[in-house]
Amino acid sequence: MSEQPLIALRTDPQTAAPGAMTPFERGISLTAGTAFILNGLRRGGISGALQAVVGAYGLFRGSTGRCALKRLLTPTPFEERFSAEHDWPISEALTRSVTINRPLEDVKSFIATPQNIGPLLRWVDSVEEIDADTTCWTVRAPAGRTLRWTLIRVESQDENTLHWRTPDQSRWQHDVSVQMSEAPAGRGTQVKVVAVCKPSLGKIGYGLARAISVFSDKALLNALQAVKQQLETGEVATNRLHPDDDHDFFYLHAQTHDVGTESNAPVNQSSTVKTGVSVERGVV
Amino acid sequence: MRALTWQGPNHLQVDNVPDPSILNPRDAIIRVTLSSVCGSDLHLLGGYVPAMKPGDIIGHEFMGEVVDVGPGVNGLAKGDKVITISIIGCGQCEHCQRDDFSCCDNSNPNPTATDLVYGQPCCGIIGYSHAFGGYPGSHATYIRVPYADVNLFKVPEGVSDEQAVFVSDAAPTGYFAADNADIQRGDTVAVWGCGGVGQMAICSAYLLGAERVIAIDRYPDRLRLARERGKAITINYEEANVHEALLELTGGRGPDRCIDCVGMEAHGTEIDYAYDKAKQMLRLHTERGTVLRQAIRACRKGGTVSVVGVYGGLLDKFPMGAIVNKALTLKSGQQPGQRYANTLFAHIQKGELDPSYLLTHPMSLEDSPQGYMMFKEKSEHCLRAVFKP
Repeated sequence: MSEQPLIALRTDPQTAAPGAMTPFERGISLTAGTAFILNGLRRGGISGALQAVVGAYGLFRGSTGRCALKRLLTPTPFEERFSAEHDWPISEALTRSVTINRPLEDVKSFIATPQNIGPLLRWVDSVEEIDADTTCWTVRAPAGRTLRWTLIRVESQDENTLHWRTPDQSRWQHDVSVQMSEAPAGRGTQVKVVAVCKPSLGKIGYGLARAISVFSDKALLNALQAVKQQLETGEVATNRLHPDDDHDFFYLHAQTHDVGTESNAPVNQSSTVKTGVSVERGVV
Repeated sequence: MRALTWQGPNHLQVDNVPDPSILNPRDAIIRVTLSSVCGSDLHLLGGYVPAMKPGDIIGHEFMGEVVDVGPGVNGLAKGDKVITISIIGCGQCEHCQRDDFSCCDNSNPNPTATDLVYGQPCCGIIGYSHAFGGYPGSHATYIRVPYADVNLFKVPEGVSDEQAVFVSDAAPTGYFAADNADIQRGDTVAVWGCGGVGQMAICSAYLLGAERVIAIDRYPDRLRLARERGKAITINYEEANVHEALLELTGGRGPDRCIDCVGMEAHGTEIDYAYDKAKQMLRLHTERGTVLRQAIRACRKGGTVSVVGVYGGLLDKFPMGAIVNKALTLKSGQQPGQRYANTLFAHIQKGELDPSYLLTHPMSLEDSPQGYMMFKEKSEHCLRAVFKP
């Protein structure tokens, strides 16, 4: 498993610290901050006080030469490298790792078939097989929305890495890799998922993607936990009382419905069976 | 079925809810015959654990009869009388295979909350908030138990229901606390809190080789039980300075092992209690650390502080300097009762342990809201109210 550069690395020692402002930006910040403070003091009241606070932050920002917003909108060293290698203008990366107490080959063969994963996730309505390397995912999103995307399996140079991409013409381009390695001392298999998206609108899109990734990160954690549970215990833990119960505290998703039927697309039968309702018996 | 549900801070009610059913191959459905209150439920009741929602069924210390099992459960059949370990293990992850069942990787269906707060997803706990899985609890007619082959234990011959029910939680928690304390022959062990878990920690400390046990609380009836049933020396912290009393009883050395069975809602008489209470009310921190600070300060150099009282979040004024400079070992955790259940049953069968005295108030499920209020207010000498659904 390649660890260089770590995706968690925020600062490249070879370049300026993220968020560092240029002399011109510092000058603008100091000037605007002073103007806001003076105008705020002149006007008084709540709006004046707010202006003074904004102005004080501008002075602080200009005098320290560090901007938190600029720092947030600066891609990490990994993202910079990924963009350069893939000829993308900008990219935003998300990663999660999990250790699964099963041999590497078992983990790899399970994950290599996306149709194995869809039924484990409550917000995935279907994983449709288009051809040997292509699958179409239909996912329930918050506020009753339905999202669809196509993933194409691509060759990887590392035999223990699985790699998928969205088609080149897709609106939301993604690149997903799953790197697997043996954990030290025979403690199972380390699985590292790296999902990279290509935001549009430059740095504004990057900022939006980072904001959305707060939720994507939770979804990825849940997905990896579900795969781990399935591989280690043969089932995915559920807190429901009965099959119809949707005891979903942290996610506000729409009710399950078979969008594959709506679109008249042939859906793999296994994709509609959610773990946790595979055995249905009431109290005797 | 009928179930006791949490509706908001200090508001419980008995409702009709749907029956549970087998959802996964390793599930079992249990008809609950006895289900006990637990001190840790009071943190839920008081609203100190945020991941609760109205309608949640609480309760995690229980026993009952198997009425159905999934196809993946071996060794259990309808009609078996069982207890359930309240902290759920899967039996297959790296931690469960090391017998650290309370560190289970797989038993929490809602991993995001504990991942965010504690750094990694924690185990699932029956009836103990959505942060710990959102599993419906045991104060109900029926309950679904996941990974039943790992978490259910048949009640052996010679063990009464009143004894067995506490092997679900109070007894293994107390035993785990004493085991974690690494008690050596001749040790003096101090135990803060003489509720159900504290009483079991006192008894367990003797089983594991303690020379004497000092019990600290403020309720005379609980201190009396600690003396009479646990053979402990007792200190009422409202009548004595705990630190001075412990040094006086140990020749100035301090107790070799200190066990905190109180947790985040500790009471006290000193200024740090008022400070903690004020910050807790203002939601500036979540824990009242009076007991933990006392235990760390009193513990002898090179000793062990074992914590099984529940802490959930952030604690202020934590005496890290005392831990470092006195070379203390701090150990803690939720109880991995799967490790201890058979040992505890054996102690009960041999007459070396009898947890049945914890059951002071048997009640019907319909009376359970009143039972909780009585337990919370420690009225009528209530040590444990146990419901019969």
